[in-house]
Amino acid sequence: MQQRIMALRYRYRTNILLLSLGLVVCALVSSGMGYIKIPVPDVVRVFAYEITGDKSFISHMNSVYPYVIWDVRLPRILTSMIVGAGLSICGVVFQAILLNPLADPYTLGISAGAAFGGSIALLFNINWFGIYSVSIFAFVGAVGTLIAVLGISKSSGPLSSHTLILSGIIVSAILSALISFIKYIADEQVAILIFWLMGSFVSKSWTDVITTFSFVLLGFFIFLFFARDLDIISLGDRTASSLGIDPEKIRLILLITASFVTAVCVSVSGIIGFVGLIIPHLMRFFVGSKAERLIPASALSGALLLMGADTITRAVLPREVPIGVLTALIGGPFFCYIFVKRSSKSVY
Amino acid sequence: MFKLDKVSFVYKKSSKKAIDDLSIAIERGHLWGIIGPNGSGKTTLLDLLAGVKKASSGRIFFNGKDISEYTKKELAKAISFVPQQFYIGIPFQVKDILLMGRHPFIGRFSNPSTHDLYLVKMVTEILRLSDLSDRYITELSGGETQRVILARAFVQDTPVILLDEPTSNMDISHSIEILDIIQDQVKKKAKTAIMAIHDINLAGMYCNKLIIIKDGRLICYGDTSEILDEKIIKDVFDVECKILEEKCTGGRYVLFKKKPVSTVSYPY
Repeated sequence: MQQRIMALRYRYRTNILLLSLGLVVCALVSSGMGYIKIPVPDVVRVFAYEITGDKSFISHMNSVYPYVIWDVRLPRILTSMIVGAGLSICGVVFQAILLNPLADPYTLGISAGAAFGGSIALLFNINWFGIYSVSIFAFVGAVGTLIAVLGISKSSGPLSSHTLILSGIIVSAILSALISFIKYIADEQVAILIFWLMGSFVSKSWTDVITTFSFVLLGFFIFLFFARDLDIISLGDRTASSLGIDPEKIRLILLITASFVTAVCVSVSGIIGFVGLIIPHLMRFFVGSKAERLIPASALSGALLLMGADTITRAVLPREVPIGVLTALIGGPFFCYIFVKRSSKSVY
Repeated sequence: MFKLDKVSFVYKKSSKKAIDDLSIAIERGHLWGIIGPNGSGKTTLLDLLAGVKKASSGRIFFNGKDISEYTKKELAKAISFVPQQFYIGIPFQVKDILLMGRHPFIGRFSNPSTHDLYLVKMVTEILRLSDLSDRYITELSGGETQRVILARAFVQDTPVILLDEPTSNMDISHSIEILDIIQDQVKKKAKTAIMAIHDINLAGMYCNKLIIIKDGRLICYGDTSEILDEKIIKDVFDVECKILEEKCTGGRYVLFKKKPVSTVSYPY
């Protein structure tokens, strides 16, 4: 038993190491891809220059390369990675809290709330906060939705997964209707609105990188701290309680944290579906269902997936496709394949 | 072990008392059975004993101290609980679930100790779960899942174990096997088991103490051989029966009479 556990731990560490390595390599390759093609060795030199400040690294290359990589591409690549990681770890948490493997960061209507907030800002051309107006409105919408969902859920007794899902569905339905109405009355802005709703990483800055990174990192550590409690909550409230855990308290802490992380992700990139659902599922095949392993593995692979998808829409496809559409197009069929393959195996 | 003093419990938004003025002293080292009709408060009583629910009035003492003065962690080291309803949607491996039973004893970021792993191994052998150990809980049948849930509580290795209908999804062979194991744990490891159980015959066969409740009120409690008789079955369950003493197993068997069908004629 001891030996088998050691072997599993070794396999897990190898997986994590490979994922991290893949992430770095893909980020380097992706930085070189785009309208201006930059060879990977030059990308590495730019990185070395920015870190050490030694001008000799970039002396021989085209003077626009450092700018393109460091100020244009890297913020976008990093934001897509951070958002991918954030949505994936929130997916793990929502699935465990709601006792439902089909839950994702959007089940409770957080996305609909963010979309509604952002749409309002776009519809009325609000720019109280400069270029961050839409993001801040989206964030406020998401947090407002969370408060509404928790309020409705709490009114019918203790916070349970059933009441949460039910009130999430009610609130999402109302918000979707409102969003449709906004689309209907927004004649000129409708194109901007729809493009934003489908998600995009165009023109992200270092400020975006730093904001999302700090929130996602904080969320990551909070999730990891409660990882074992999260596992036990999925055994049901009575069992959790008899194992020394207060399920309602843990659920509230994790729900609020996960909603904040989701809200930050949505406010920076729009609505990007499927990542939060598919990544936790996929990673369960490789590292098992224990949250303390699933969370780091999901963070890395979510980052990898969204960065890959964003690189495809940015540099491979002839014109930009909204990233939300692309993730659904890649994720959907892949998910079907995994699902059919697994179901055919478990039927004896 | 447990002492209940005029305990009542009312569910939120309900006027009826689920547990009504119940006083009882539960001694250690027995296999206690809680029997009563559907909705009589068996599960609520277990929840109160487990500290999952707080009494609306009255006090519950566990080892001489009020149960509300214990921290959750302290209770988790003393009392384990096997719920009747369990739904696990996340595909954990059976061995992971068993190890979760050691949660109160393992520090937040530390690895399980050799003792923790030893207990998991022992329980896996006792409950014959070796074949299921690597399987996913979501793939198991109802009876298999129930055995895993039971094993999870055994791994917790507490002096008191509370069970809510532990055999409700099992066939008779598995039920007997499980109850044998529970009885064995009580005898050999000097544990106290308190079990809500529907099957009066199984209760009469395995439980040496019974608590009989109806509508949240205590009807009587004590040695099975003294209190389980025809009159009490008639009073509590409204069923005529005959009780047989079976000398070779020392158990009591209840033979039920059919209830006469109501005289109202069917309209078709």
